Amino acid sequence: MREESEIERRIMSVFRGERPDRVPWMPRIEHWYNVNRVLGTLPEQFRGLSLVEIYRELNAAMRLYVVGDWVFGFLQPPYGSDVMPTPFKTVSGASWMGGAGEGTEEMAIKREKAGDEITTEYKTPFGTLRSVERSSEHGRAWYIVEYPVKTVEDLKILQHILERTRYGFDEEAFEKLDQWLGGQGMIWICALRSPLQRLFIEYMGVERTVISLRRHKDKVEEIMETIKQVDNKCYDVIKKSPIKVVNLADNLDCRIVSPDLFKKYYLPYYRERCDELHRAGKYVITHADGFVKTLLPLFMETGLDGVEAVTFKPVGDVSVEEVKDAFREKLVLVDGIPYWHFLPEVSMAEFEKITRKVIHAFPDKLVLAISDELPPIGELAKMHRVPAIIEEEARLA
Amino acid sequence: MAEEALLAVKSCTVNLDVDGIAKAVDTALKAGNSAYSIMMDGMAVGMEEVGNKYEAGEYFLSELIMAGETVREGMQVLVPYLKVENMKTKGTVVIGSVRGDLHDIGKNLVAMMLRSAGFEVFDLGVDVARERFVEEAGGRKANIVGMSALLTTTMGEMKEVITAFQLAGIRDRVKIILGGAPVTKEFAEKIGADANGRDAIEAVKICRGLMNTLRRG
Repeated sequence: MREESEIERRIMSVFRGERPDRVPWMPRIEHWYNVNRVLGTLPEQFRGLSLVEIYRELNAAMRLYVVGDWVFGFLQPPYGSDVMPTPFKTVSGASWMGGAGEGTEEMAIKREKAGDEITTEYKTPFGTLRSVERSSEHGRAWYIVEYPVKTVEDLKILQHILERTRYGFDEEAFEKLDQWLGGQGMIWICALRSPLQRLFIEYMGVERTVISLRRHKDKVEEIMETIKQVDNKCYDVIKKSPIKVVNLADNLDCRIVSPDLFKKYYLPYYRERCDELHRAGKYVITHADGFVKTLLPLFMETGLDGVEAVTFKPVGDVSVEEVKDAFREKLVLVDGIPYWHFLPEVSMAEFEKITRKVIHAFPDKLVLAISDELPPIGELAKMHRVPAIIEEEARLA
Repeated sequence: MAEEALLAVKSCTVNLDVDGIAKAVDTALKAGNSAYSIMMDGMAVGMEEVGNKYEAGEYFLSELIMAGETVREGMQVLVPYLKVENMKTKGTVVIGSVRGDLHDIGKNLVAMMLRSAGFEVFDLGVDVARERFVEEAGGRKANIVGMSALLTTTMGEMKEVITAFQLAGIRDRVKIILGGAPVTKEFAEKIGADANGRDAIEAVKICRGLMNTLRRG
């Protein structure tokens, strides 16, 4: 096992509860990079540089997210032609966020790309599930436009598929990815979403899930239990991996997940997952990129070490002060500067004001970055300004 | 008796009684209420209370969706009795997510809440080309056009849609309302929209206000 780089040490000290020498700056710029690369609008000084080299130029740490069979920001077949080592593998069955592994004797999987759509079909003895993803944002993002589960009867087919899903970890691929990163950041993992969130985002869609949960509660709760049990196999793989920070990647939004739903279906799940991951020496965060006001008081009860992507007003629904009070200097805030502040219509003075405010509010519990990504039209001058602000604040501290 | 039956329809809507509303609507019809009255004085009034509960933080998006589903169940009983010529809409709205944007939850909720409030809504879906917004709004004599975008890469398209309305010479015939996470009041003003709605409940209020402006104008 290699030694921690200075950048990694700075980030991990925040999780360990030690005061870092300066606030770590770990923005996610992959989407900005890729969209501008496709459009040919990448700034001159970055042309021909790899993403990790750009991070070096920006004096920033890269948060390299492994998301199941892909590495965030890199589109591999059938989505695109980027070649990146992928340490986690879906050996068979349904993968993260629409992807798929190999079929088995009792489950044939067909995945086809035609134009800007990818269709996936799972044929099982109980019937067939079909989902369609469509590309957006110049081919750099994919969205599910046809969910695989159309009726509650389809849940039986989903159960069959999930029970035949297997996961693996490729150490050699991890090493290669780590070497590519070269200490300019850390590899984190976006783990599988929690059961109800998976139904909302990946399997049924929000409207169908809400209605099904109300009208066919037993069947929906049964599939949620299956998801949890099957995911244990995936978490066993994650626990044995060298990855130090696990993101439960739930994309929480309290407009969809009310406090009641959260208390019933997320809190017990989070506590259990956090316990087992902590026992394996991992730090655990979740992604909350929507409105969070009514969930804020509940985050402290989850067992999480931190929350990523909380977005302050005017895009989100919470103020810096509200989050500071709710996190009680115990939870780590990962991100903090709303993406909106990187847009050209926001002045540099306003940008500096929010950046300093976030740094002051979370002096020891902050991995500073963008909530949640740099927009493709985001201003580079602001990206360059952040490390300078961090240095100034470190000198003043 | 007729009044009581209407209250029962409203109560089913407010309490999200998706399994009970069909019977309540049937009872209200048998009690002598017109289908239109059941729709407007029962379900629409109920939806307004649902909206109030949402604003008060008592209801969340799940409850809005269930309220929509409850109304949908009730409408299945009601539709055969509704006479098109007697229908008075509050206004006509053409709505869609702009080109390049595939997000639809917010847009669907706005459409559902507007329908429940008595608007006639033509939902164009997601990834809607600017020409289609113009064509549908013109063809359907829409009063209001609603555009949704969740991405910073697609919010610029909203301005292009407004320009397309100007080029087609029908910008002054419609009011344009925006929605979506990155869309602020300032942005809406800057690109020449008439308003922006933070959520589905606010969108309904804004559309009512815009209709009043149109009527006065």
